Amino acid sequence: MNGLKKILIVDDEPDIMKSVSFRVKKAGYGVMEATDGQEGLDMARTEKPDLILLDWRLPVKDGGEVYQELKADDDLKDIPVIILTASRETESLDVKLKNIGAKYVLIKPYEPAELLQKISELIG
Amino acid sequence: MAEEKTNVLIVGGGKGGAALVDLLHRSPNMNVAGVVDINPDAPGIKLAQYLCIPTGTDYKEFFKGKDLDDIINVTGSEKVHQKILEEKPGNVELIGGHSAKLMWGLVEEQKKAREELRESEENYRTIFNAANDAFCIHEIDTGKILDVNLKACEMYGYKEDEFENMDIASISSNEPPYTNKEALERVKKAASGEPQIFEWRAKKKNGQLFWVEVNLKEVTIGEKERIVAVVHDIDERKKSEENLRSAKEYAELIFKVTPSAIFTVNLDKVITSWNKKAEEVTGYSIKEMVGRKCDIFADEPCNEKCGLYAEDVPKPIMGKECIIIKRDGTRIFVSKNADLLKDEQGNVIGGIESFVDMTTQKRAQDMMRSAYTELDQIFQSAGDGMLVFDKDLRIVRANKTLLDLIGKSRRELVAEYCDKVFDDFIAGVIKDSMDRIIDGASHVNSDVTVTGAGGITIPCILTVTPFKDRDGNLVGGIGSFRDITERKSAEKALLDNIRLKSNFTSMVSHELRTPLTAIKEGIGIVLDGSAGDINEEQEDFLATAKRNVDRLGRLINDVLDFTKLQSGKMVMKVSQNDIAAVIEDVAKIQKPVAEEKGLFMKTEIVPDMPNAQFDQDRVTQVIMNLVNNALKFTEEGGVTISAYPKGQEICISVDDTGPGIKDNDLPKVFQEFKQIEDAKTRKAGGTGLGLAISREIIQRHGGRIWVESAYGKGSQFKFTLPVVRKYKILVVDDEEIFVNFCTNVLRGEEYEVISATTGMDGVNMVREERPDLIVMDMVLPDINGYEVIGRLRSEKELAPIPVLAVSGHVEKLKELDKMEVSAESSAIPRLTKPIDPTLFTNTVKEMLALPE
Repeated sequence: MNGLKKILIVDDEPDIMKSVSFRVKKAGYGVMEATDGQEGLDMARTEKPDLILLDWRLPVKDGGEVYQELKADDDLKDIPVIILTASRETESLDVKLKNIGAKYVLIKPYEPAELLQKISELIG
Repeated sequence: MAEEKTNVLIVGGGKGGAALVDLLHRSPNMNVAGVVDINPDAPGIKLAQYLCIPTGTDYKEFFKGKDLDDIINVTGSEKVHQKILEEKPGNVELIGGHSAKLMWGLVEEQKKAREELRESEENYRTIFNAANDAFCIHEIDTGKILDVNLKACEMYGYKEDEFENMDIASISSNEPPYTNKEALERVKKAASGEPQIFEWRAKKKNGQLFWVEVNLKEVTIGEKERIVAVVHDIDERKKSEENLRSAKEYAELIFKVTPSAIFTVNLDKVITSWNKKAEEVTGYSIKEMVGRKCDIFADEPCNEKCGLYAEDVPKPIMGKECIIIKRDGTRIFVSKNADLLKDEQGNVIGGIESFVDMTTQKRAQDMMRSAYTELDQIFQSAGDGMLVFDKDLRIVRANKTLLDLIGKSRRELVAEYCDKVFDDFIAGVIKDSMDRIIDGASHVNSDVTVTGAGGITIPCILTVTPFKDRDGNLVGGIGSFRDITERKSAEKALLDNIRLKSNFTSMVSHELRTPLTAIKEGIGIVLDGSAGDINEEQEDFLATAKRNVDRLGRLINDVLDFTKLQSGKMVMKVSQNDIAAVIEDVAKIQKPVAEEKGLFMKTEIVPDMPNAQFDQDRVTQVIMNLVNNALKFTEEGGVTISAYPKGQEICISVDDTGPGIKDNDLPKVFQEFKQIEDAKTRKAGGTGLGLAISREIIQRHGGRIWVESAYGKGSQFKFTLPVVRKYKILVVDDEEIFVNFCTNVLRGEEYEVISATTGMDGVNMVREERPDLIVMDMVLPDINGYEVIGRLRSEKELAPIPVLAVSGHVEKLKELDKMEVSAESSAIPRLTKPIDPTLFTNTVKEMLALPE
């Protein structure tokens, strides 16, 4: 596409998708939307986004599985992933995130400013 | 007449001369005219001077004007002899040479004989006085006392001179036959050669009478016939003889009046005596019994084995219970004592037995037995399955509850070993528990699963306690199985409930958060103008909506935190942190909030605060929370965060100048969902969980949190955190290499390693330094490690310090097995050199109860 940085948003909640998508577009990024884990993976493979915003609890394949598959794919493993989750069971999630090597995590309800700052840090 | 005396001059003042002077000057018909010697100090000269006999150095001086009759030359010199012969006046006789020698010899012999006589006299006197018996020498005709020895003085109480001419009557009782007349007769008999040895009633000077044994002998003293009486005090012997006699009378009396039946038998078990009580108890009279065999009244087994006459059972029988048959045929229980009778030479001549009727005691015993039956009923009906086993783990008793529990019959259990009755696990638990009981444990609880009848598994708590006899000796154990099925299921339900609640809460909060995110973003996008301009009124309402959405978000977080804290799911990520930095961070964040309200926000931190171990995020959360609260309630003044060390803790205090808390509200402050009823609270938008969460977090750190407040004068919320301790490790070893090994392995902020190279230094260092742990080498130059540990354990204050024994010799470590193990002093952990560093640090940590 026309030089615009593309962000893939994977979230099964349409209302969340709507506001996240709005924020990201408003900040000047191109947006692609997927509503389950598998769709997200497929889209990542075909569209090669610059960054992925990944929900944790997803139908078909959850965020953890998607993350691991992304990182196992040589073509995709360099795409930065921010995990957005409403789960706050820090211990179990922490352990899982640590196990899969996830670096960037935001808890819902996130602060919009924080989200946009993180994105710009990662892809400018 | 002096003229008739022979005047003698002695030439030579040596020993011979001296002897002659001594002899001749005493002689009635001799006169020593002088003594001559060229040596003025010769003994003869000295003696002569002492006896006022003239002396000189030249014999010629004595030739003038003196009527010398004889000159005796005792110089032994032929030359001198010739010289005197030439010079002496003609009428003077010279005796010398052989004759003088002969004379001198005679003199010497006489002197020696005299001395011997004196000596033997002295000896005789000494013996006479030292004798243990009194000696009295009597005149034969009158019996009068002529001489006595010291013992006689002592025995009779008279002084030696008082005895003189005393007659025998004075030292006799004078009661017939101990009279003077009788005594004289005996003296006469002795004088006629008939030896006299007899007992006599003697009398002391003070009138006291006593028994003596007298031996009269005829002796010749100074050519006169005398009688010597050797007197021996036999008063004590007499007395004991009398005592013996009265003892016998006593014994006979006791025999009659004692409440025990007593009889004696001879070697053929024929009864030789039978007392009154025996008559009473058995109904047999003395006439019937004496002369009969004793088995007449004995029950069979008693007769058989008393062991009394068996040679290998020399001990007396005491308190033996047996049955005897009375004259009327009834049987009674008796308790019997028996012993052998011996004659004076110690030969067994028979036996003596005593017995008491035990029928009444028996009744008491029966009552006890019935009490026992009652206890047994309690034992049998106890709600817990119970068994009693001996030290070999052999079952002695088991109650009905246990039999029902394990579905076995009494016959299958009793006298059987535990491992034959129970599965390996339970048998192992019983064995281990018993080992600990033997080591002094008062009880041991274990969770076990009993497989009951039909293979049903029943969770039980098995408690093993000591089983002691009435003297307090451990003879076995009591095991009680408590069926905890119900408790287990209740516990499970509770756990399930907590788990469910926790899962529910986290699920709910997740489900709440998703819509909350959508609401927040919806409001946020409109409010920040991203979706187009809004008017002031719209902005105000949306701001209110946003504030409440944020509050809802906090509430959800707090509820989740609190639930996690309560269910133990929240793990503290504890590490060493700088509390000053944490406080400064919070102050920095909160300062704008305070200033906005016109309040001050300051910190007062003691410099060089000790490090503490805590979860930085959680403690930040606590301080943040406290500061938030303080700022919320304070309208004037401000908030101060202070920190200072306090013993083994650091104390953090958040002080405000707010309204303070009423006394009766103070206890509620830290309770969950308990907000102090105040309009401001609600306005402040609290969740009612902040302080409850803070309390949980601080308690999880091992600290305390509390509030001090005076209503109207502000509040001080304080909490403590434990300071990072440096553990002091004392290494006692003379090997430098090992000390270095310890220092290297235990390097770091957690430990401080100190060392001693001898056992005594070690002991002293423990006293002075009070280390947290002692690493003790078993072989030391002075006292060995085993001894050092013994010394430490003997001091109450040092005994609890854990000791890790190390040695290159396994057998040295084995010595520690001898050491007593109890609840207070457990077995010493030990490692064999060379030691793996990881194993070493892990052991040290385990002993200090630190996480590995």
